[in-house]
Order: sequence, then structure tokens, then C-alpha cells
Amino acid sequence: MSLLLITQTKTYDQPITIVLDPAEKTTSRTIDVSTEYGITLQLCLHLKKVLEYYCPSLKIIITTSLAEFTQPYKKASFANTLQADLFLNFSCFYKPEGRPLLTIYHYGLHEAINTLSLSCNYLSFIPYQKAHLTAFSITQKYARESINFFNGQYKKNFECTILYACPLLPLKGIKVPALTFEMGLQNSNDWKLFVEPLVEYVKTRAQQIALTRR
Amino acid sequence: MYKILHHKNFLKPFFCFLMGIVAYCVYQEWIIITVRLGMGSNNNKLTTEQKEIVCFFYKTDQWHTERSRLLWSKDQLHNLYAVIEQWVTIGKIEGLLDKKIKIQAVTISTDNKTAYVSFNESPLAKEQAIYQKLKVLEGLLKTIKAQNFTVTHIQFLKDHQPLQDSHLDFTETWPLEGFSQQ
Repeated sequence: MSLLLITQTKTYDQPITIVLDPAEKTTSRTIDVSTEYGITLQLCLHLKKVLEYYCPSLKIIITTSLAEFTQPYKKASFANTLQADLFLNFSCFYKPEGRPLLTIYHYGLHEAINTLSLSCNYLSFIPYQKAHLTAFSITQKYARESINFFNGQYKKNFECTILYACPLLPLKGIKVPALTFEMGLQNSNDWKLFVEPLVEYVKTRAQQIALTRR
Repeated sequence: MYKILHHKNFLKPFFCFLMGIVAYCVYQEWIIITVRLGMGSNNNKLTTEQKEIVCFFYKTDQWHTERSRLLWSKDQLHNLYAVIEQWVTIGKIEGLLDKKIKIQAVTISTDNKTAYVSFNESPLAKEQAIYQKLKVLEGLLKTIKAQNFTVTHIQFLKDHQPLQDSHLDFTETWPLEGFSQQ
């Protein structure tokens, strides 16, 4: 039990863990000849490379780099076990005209469930449909701040639209703050426009997480 | 042989054996027993009246409404089915829904709070963005909400199983308020 208590308490010297989750292989959205999975995997790999170069203290994990992650719940289970500081899921769709678009989502159910207070500790079992309540207020805060972040500095790169809280399959069962970034792209190389803003966003977020730990 | 068949001791086990076979077939879903609801029956026709309903749908980044007249009965289930069917028809005309989409069944839970709507195909196009999918379903939810049914939540089904989508989760019921922008 004492060992569990030690492992469950995060200290400021532990690395900040960011989980990057590309779209599922099963999604059938395509842009040009590239699949949604291929584009988002490229983005995640690029983000990991850049972030590890500029912030070596960050622990960046891509979910699909491990072969056993075939189901969303397994990814959720992994992120929960790892006690990740942030879970970022990426998806993209074909946007035939206009500027590239970024829409931000987080997991949410009916208002009645979202406003429930989850009185439990880390040893309690939580139903998977209520897992998001563990970090709901933090997730909402992160989501609102991310909208302001992208609309402030990176308005020239893409349009960032209003945030939605809805039952998203890739974020189901995740107890740590988790967001989905959905990109509207005109061609398969447009994902490169999102690299710099996302790197800056993760860096800023990691700095804020480090400050709150102290 | 005739004597065996008409013997009292033979009939009871034979009947039990027959019932066992039927029960096993029902259990294995080889035989499906359904109760036909009296939709469109004479009782409903006697109490119907015309009502104007408003159907909502999201197209070209804004909400549109379409008014239509339906036969309105005292049976909530009948009305709900008619409203959803009308919304599907308008959705097909406006090019929002695939022409193959049909409603398989609509039922309401015993507490009259949750409606179960089963389609033969997913009403969501695979290429759509998540927010576009949300808007399509929000159109249906708004349309149902506008008719003041007692129903507060909808469970979306395909072939009587929870609707499957790569991005949205349909294992839970969806509130009529939808998932509006934060």
C-alpha cells in the first residue's frame, strides 16, 4: 500500500508526460490520397521529434507506437495508468475551401452528469462513462485557454473555432485532462501549418503544469 | 404407433419437448417474436388532427427551418415516429442524409423519458467533421424538442444496436438540448 502511495503521488522532479494520440486506423476520412491516420501519425511523430529536441525534460509518448493499442479503451487505460499530464488526440478532415481550421473538443455528457461531483480517491473504481469527471474542471480550463492561445498568436496560420464538449470515442474513459484537436485541411501537407503552434502550445502548457506542481 | 401417440403419458413429455425447442429457438434468436404496435390503426385515425411542425437542419454554416403539416394523434409514439420520418425526408431532400436511410423502429422507455431510434444506415457521413456530425444530429434533437414530447433523451441505434462511429460515442443517450458550443 505504501508503495502505491509513493507511486501515485507526482512530485515536481518527475517528468511531465504528454500523450499524443493519432486518429484510429479504422477511420475512413481521406485528404488527397492520404488517410486521416497517416496524416495525424506524421504530425504526432514530428511533434515528438521537435518537442524532445527543445524540451528534453518532457516525456512524449505516441499511442500507436506500441503495437498493443488497438482499442480506444486501451489507450485510455494506458494514459490513466501512466498518470499522464495531458492527452492530446488528433484527427483531420477534408475542407475543400477556405483557410485551414482547428476545432477543439473535450469529453462531455449531459449537463446533469457533467456537474456531478466525483467523490472518490485514486483507489476507487470509476465507471468509464464518468472517468472524465476526475479532471473535468481542469480539462475545461485547458480547452478554453487553448482556444485563446491559438486565436491570439496563430490566427494567421489557421482559424480556430469554438469548443465543443461532447461524447467523443477517442477520449472516453480518460481520467487525465484530454483534448481532441480536429484539423480541417485542404491538402495532405497542410498539417505542417499546425506544428509550430502545437509545439508552442505544449511547451506553454508544460511550463504551467510544472508551476502548479511546485 | 397410433396407440403410442394417443397415450396420455406420451403427450405431456412431447408437449414439453416441443416447448423446449421453441424456447431454445427464441433464446438463440432463430425465432423472433415482435408485437406490432397499432400505428395507423383505426383507433389512432379517429383521434388524429393536423399539426404544423418545424424541422431544423444545419446547412452552409447556419440553421434552417422547414415547416410541414403532419397527422397528429394522441399516441406520443406515433407522433414521434412521424416527426422523425419527416425530418429524415427533409434531410434527404436537402442532401444532408443518404437516400438509403430509413427508420427501422422508434420506441419509448416505460418512464417516457428516453426514445430509442433505430436506423438501417448511419445518418452520419464518414467524411464529415465531428462538428458537422454533431450539427446533423442536433437538427433532429431540436426538431423533437420543439414538439414538446415528454422524451428528454434519445438513444441512436443502427440495426437495433448502438450506432457505431469512429469519432462519436453512441453508447450513452443524447440529451435533446444537444452538445452546444461552450
